[in-house]
Amino acid sequence: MSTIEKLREVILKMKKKNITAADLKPEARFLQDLSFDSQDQTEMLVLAEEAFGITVDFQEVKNMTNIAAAVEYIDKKMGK
Amino acid sequence: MGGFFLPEDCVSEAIFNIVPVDRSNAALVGDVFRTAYGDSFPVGYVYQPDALLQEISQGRLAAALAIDGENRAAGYVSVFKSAPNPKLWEAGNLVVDPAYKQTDVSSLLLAAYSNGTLYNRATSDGLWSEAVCCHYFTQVANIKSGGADVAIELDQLDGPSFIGNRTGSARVSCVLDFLESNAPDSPIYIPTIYAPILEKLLQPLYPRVRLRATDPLPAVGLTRHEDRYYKPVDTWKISVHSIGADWPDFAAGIMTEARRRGVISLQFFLNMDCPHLDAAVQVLKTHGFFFGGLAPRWFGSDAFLMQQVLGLETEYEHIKLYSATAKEILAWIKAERAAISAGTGN
Repeated sequence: MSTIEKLREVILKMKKKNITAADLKPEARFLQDLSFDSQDQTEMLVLAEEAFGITVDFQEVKNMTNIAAAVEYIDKKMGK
Repeated sequence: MGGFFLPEDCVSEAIFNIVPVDRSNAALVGDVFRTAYGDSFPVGYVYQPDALLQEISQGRLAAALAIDGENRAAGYVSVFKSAPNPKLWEAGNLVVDPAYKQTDVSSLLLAAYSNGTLYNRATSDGLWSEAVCCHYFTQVANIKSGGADVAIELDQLDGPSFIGNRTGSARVSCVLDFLESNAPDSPIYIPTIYAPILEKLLQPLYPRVRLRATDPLPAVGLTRHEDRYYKPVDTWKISVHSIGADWPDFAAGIMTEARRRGVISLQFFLNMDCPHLDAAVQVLKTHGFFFGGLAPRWFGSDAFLMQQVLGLETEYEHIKLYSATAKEILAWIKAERAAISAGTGN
């Protein structure tokens, strides 16, 4: 399973209303397109830590705006 | 509240100044709370500048505002005294004007807890806070700020009363998090049955001399305590300074009164400067109490939490925990409650 597929699973697991797999395109922006607030952002990162076995540096993800950036960050953390 | 990810057009953090609350800006505090809570925030002094300033002048509150480039208040953060130990601060009541949601003002306000803006670490024993378990945001912020999770207060808050009601459960549990400022100067007594988990919870703190709490209940003297009853959320916290010969009757009396009041979350904070804790725990367990965790420096000396939930079933599936320690505490709680239910918990 690719990183983006696994990240989609993580986000769908959050059961955030109105978000479907089709919404989770690489260019989808967390704040503007997915309406993530701070709680959603944090939950996604916590679940990503578990799912990918990584430790997120919350300062490093400050400027992460969309799904593609999250995938890039996770891949980097996993040494891909 | 703003978050970790900033939009591309995010307002720069440079425009916010974090300034202490004083006479010149105290009226802005109520304005910030009204943007988020209307007039219903349960801490009344935030709407009353004179009362707020009195809390500050009497040393019970330290507070700061985030002021933007146009001199508007974007957020508020505070520490206050709520434990029996007057050298212990509680972090809380952080609020951000929703208009500033897409800025990093909340991160700046959170930083005030650990960077010395609000209180002098050198003159305090520590800082504690309660993070709700219906989301991860505050738990993560506490851990990333250097705090240690030390207890879980089960079903402490009323779920439906949360703004937006995203809790999904009737009650909300809290993780107690602690940042210690100095080393305690006296030994503590460890209740034998909780020694394994307490030793783990003590690890991130300054070293303490530990003794075994195996003395029987005292033959004389009265139990000395203070309490805080939070009627709107049906939570009653009882801080036991010292245990007397009347302990069994005292505990039974509390149970009777808790049922009369309709208490849901009943919590005992027991002072660990007491050698009678093994016996005291056994009395509480006969009433159905179970472990909650450690409350470091609660009395100056540490306390440990015993608690019970009256009249409802805990919805464990709704409890979100970030740290491995918090998960370990919850596992202990579940195991102990299961043993109590099975009649093997003593």
